[in-house]
Amino acid sequence: MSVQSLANAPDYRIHDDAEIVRRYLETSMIPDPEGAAAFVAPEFVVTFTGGRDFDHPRGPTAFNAARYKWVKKRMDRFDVAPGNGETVVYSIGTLYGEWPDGTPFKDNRYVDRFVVRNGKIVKMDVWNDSAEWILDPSVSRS
Amino acid sequence: MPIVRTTLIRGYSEEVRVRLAERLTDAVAATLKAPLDAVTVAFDEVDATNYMRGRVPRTPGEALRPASDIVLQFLRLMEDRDLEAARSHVHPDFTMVFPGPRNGTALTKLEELVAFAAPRYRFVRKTIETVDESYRGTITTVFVTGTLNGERLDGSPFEGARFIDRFEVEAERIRRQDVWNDLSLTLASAP
Repeated sequence: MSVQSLANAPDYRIHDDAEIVRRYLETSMIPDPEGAAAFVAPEFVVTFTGGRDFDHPRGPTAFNAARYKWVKKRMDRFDVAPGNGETVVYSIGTLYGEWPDGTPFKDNRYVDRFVVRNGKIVKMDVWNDSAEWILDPSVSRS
Repeated sequence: MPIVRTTLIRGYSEEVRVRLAERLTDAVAATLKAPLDAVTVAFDEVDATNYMRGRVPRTPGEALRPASDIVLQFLRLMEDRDLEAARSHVHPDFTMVFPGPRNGTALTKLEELVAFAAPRYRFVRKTIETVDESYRGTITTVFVTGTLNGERLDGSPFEGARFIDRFEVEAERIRRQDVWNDLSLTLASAP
């Protein structure tokens, strides 16, 4: 089963576990890490780019605050892989926002992998191209 | 208590019947609010001599190779730089998108990937941790995650660079590959 839809289209019916992920991501982007915590299990672990682990949605919010002036996700699609007792949900799209110096950016590809058990997110893994922008000398951020 | 009964012409392997039963179960579980334990799938197998459609006796159709098998084989061939064999698994309209700013780095030929890699590292190998399949219609989406190890251009080794690859597979051919990883971070850090 896969749900491949425009996540930003409110009428589109998506898998229940993908809906949990969508609400978690929207709440995280406010940013409201305490509100996002309602969607995660007590054993929640999120692994960010570079292998940094956090055990609460506050971790990514603090990391993002240091890396970006602000950042939001354009969620293009969800892919859902059902399993035994858990569902793996992938959110794919692009990041947009401003670097700390105020330079805007967009079209920064991301993919997040979520393991959902009993309606709660137990694991999140994050990948994006931010390091490519930061390391690319042709990208002006001043 | 949904029960899915499917009539098949006898002849499909046990592996194919198990895969089909899992997918039928997933389709019901993702549509009805039924617990997984309540979803039953049963096959009625009929001999080819007991089956006719349009006045013509039929034989079992072929089963597709699992999309994840095709992807894992493709990844092994690319690691070994066996481009000719790898090419046999990709669709003529194959597109790859590798890390890069502004919507990533789009490549359409396997040779372009070799050229993309040449100024970055000597070689890279994957340690695979998860393989997931998602499907819709005739397209199966395969996700592979794990870590990369290899050698920088100066010969120093690296390991533990997280990666994720997303593949769209249709009719046993890979149509699209999207790649994200921490390789730039790893390569930029001192050995």
